[in-house]
Amino acid sequence: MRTGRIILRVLAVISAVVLVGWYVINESGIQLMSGSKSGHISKQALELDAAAPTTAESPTPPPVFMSGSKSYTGVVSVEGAKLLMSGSKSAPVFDSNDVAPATAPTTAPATQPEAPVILPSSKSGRIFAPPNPSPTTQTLNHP
Amino acid sequence: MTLYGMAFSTGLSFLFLCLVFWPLEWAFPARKQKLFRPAWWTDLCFFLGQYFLWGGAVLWVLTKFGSWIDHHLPTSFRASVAGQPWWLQAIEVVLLSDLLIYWGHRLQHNNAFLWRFHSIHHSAEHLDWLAAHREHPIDTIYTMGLINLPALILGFPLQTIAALIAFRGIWAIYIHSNVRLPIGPLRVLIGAPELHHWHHDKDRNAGNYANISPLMDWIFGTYTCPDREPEAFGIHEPISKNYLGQMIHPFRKSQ
Repeated sequence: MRTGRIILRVLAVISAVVLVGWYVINESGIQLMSGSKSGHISKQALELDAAAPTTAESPTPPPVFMSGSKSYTGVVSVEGAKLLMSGSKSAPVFDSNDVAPATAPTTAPATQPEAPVILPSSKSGRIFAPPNPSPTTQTLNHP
Repeated sequence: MTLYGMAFSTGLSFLFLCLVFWPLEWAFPARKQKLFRPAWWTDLCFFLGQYFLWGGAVLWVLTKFGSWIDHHLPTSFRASVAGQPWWLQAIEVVLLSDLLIYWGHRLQHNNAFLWRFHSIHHSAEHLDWLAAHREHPIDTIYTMGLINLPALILGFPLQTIAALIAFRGIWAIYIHSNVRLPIGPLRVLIGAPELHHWHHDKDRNAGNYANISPLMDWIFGTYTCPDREPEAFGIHEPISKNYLGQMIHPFRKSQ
């Protein structure tokens, strides 16, 4: 009985550490093999990396805010906030990919305003954001 | 964002937090408490309100605030800051944020007007991870504005320390949870529930005002950590028990 309780306690800690670790890695955009199951960087991610602009045309990632509030977690999307306050119904406010690519892949023509908006960052106190089918790369913008 | 999208992300976030904190609260309870303790539904309303309503509004205010600062700061100042090593900027931003939020938080406890809003957070008589979400949106704007002020002024790209920010965000919820899990010396660095539980003692000036790390409390003499849990959480003044009542509480005349 006592052993069982100890095991359950250990499991509780391990699961919490794993979940939070996963969340932090996901949220920070640290690239771990681009999520490829095979352990290799996915072809799609490589293609997107190659297609990403590397000049000054690269979109600037939106600012990230510190979560000083009692419950607000993670980083937030300023672009998302703008979209929300502008009353946009269709554009996703919060990035589903939880990452802030320094060189966001913008392969879609600029004349497609109705295309899914890929916001390069998240969150407003949200742990998760809704699904977004658009692929993005995950890069951390170190200066 | 569609309503479905918001509902999905909210549900997923709730599930994630349940998976992280419920097992911990069951395995290492700081005090005996039912899962669905009194006012659980009120705190759930705060959680939902934050995700569905106030999160976007807070971001909007912060964005405007950031833009305003951008327009009023000389670029030479930003350039001189950017000339520093990255790691030095990161340390500056984190320490300045902690310093600001420490004194801002103390002010919330000592200024009658700010306390009107902050008392909502302290009205929770049962602490757990969900109670962390009990916060008036204006209180949130104040806190978020203060803690982000150094980064906004210095022009520091916070995404470069996104991992730290994400971790601190989760930790801010954790310190409210009904958990007593000794983490040794780490407590000095990143804080712990037993410290923040004392901040939620019924005594309005109980100490432990620091956001995460107790460093500022140490420096300014407000660190407290008795080897037991407080007798009672909450506040002395009467306050509505329901969500709407708490939302309008700061605006009532009879303060």
